[in-house]
Amino acid sequence: MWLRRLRIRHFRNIEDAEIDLVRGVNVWIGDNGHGKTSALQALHVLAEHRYPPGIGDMDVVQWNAPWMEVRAVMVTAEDTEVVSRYGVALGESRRRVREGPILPAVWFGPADLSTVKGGPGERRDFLSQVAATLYPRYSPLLRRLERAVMQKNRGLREHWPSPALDSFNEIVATTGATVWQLRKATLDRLLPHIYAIHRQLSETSSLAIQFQQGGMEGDLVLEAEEVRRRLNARFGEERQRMVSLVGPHRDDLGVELDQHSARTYASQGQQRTIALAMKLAIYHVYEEFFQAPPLVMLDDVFSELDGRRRALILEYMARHDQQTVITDTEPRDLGTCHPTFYRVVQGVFQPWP
Amino acid sequence: MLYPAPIQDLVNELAKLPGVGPKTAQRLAFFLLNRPQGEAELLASAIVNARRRIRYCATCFNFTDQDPCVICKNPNRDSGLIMVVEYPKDVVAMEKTHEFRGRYHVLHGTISPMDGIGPDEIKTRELLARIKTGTVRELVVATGSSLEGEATALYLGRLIKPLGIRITRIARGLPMGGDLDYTDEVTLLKAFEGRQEL
Ligand SMILES: [Zn+2]
Repeated sequence: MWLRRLRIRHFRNIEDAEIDLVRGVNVWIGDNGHGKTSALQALHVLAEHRYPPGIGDMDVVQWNAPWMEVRAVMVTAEDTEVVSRYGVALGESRRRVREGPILPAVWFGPADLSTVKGGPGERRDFLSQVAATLYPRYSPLLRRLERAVMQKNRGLREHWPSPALDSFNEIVATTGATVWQLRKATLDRLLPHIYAIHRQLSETSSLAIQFQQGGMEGDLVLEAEEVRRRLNARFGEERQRMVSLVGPHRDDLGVELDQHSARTYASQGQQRTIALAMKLAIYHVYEEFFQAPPLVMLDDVFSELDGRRRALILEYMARHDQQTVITDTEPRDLGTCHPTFYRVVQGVFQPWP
Repeated sequence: MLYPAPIQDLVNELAKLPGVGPKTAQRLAFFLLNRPQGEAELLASAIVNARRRIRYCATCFNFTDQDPCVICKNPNRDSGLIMVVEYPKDVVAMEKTHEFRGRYHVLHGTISPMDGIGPDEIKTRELLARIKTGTVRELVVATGSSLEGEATALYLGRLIKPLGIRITRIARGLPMGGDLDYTDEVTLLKAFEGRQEL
């Protein structure tokens, strides 16, 4: 599947833009702050019917407008065309329109490094993004779990008695067990690809990534009954410390390079290589799972990639059925790809040259 | 520009209604002012009357203008089968199926630490007292599928199971976050028939 004829209205600093997309490499050139990253975010929303991490409804609707809409024509594997649309209207009651099939998308951006360098939350986001695309029940389940943890924490702070508080703990246990199962399944799909790509980029160092269950010790516990027992076992301690100590909201990934924490000991270059391997692994997982290549989005990443890492990305872009959209500040040599250029000035897109 | 005080008062009062923002409140106020005098008086007296004559049924805590309410008073309704719901609107939704022959208990909310609503802020103690009178055989918990609705159901399970009566939960066929009053009658009936032990 691929997208053509993109239309973006009232999205961030873009009033109304029409962009023809080709089924190959699309490059949007412009200075920072002129709307190319906004347009890429709009494309992500449209493709996955979901925002990239860290942004929500209130961030995306243009400041003086009551609604935003992104639409495109999606060309399916059978070569039929369907309209794909995502829109939000703010106001006293919020309305949302989603139309058309989901197109899995992989986003590469300068913030990718934080998957290795940042805190546990960034690594949870990494897993959650993929899990949400693979398993439609993941996102609603995670939202429910997060709300249950918030309710439980409030109850702990205010010394709520049993059994009223126990029922929220129980929901943390049941939703938590399923979130853990889905995260583990997601990581199991990703790991072989992460390791293979990492070996390709760095023959000398060995990478190991481990799932660390929040507040649990020893072997992984995924079975619902056992999860409940483990949560109950620490409920007294949670009551004393007045905060939830066990659950997927405390998960992390242990990333080790040659047996040392990559977050603390790896060089910036080594961290970049790991982050790139993790992102490219998503590409392979989506391709396997959906039996079609995902849409690839590269937000301002070429300036930071060295020759070897850049060459690897170019290999993916050159695949015959691959659709890629790149934002950059200047046109650059993209090897054997034949890109279509757009120039972006003040939120206006124009074919270039 | 400021409106004359009577208009401003009306706008302010309307804006206190749930789901009504300042803009909608203005629109409603001007709508009322443009209608015949009699219509506005009918509305005003309907509000006053309802507020004056409606109270909780002392048994099931549904809204009623007579105590006990028509459902609690009806000898053909099974007093051994009680459906626990969040709000009076849920009773209306269930009654539309014309199939449920038991009686109700209205909690008027769900437990929620973030809103400062504990079991004592909703009608759970009253439910317990009602069960202890001894005629109740089965309790069907029909709180919503929201997190708080689910937590309230679990809470009631823990509270009531030791008393030795059957306690069931309507089936999870309802959509995520779905309320009884948004669910069509056929789905609602299936949810009731597919109820499971809590
Ligand atoms: Zn009654």
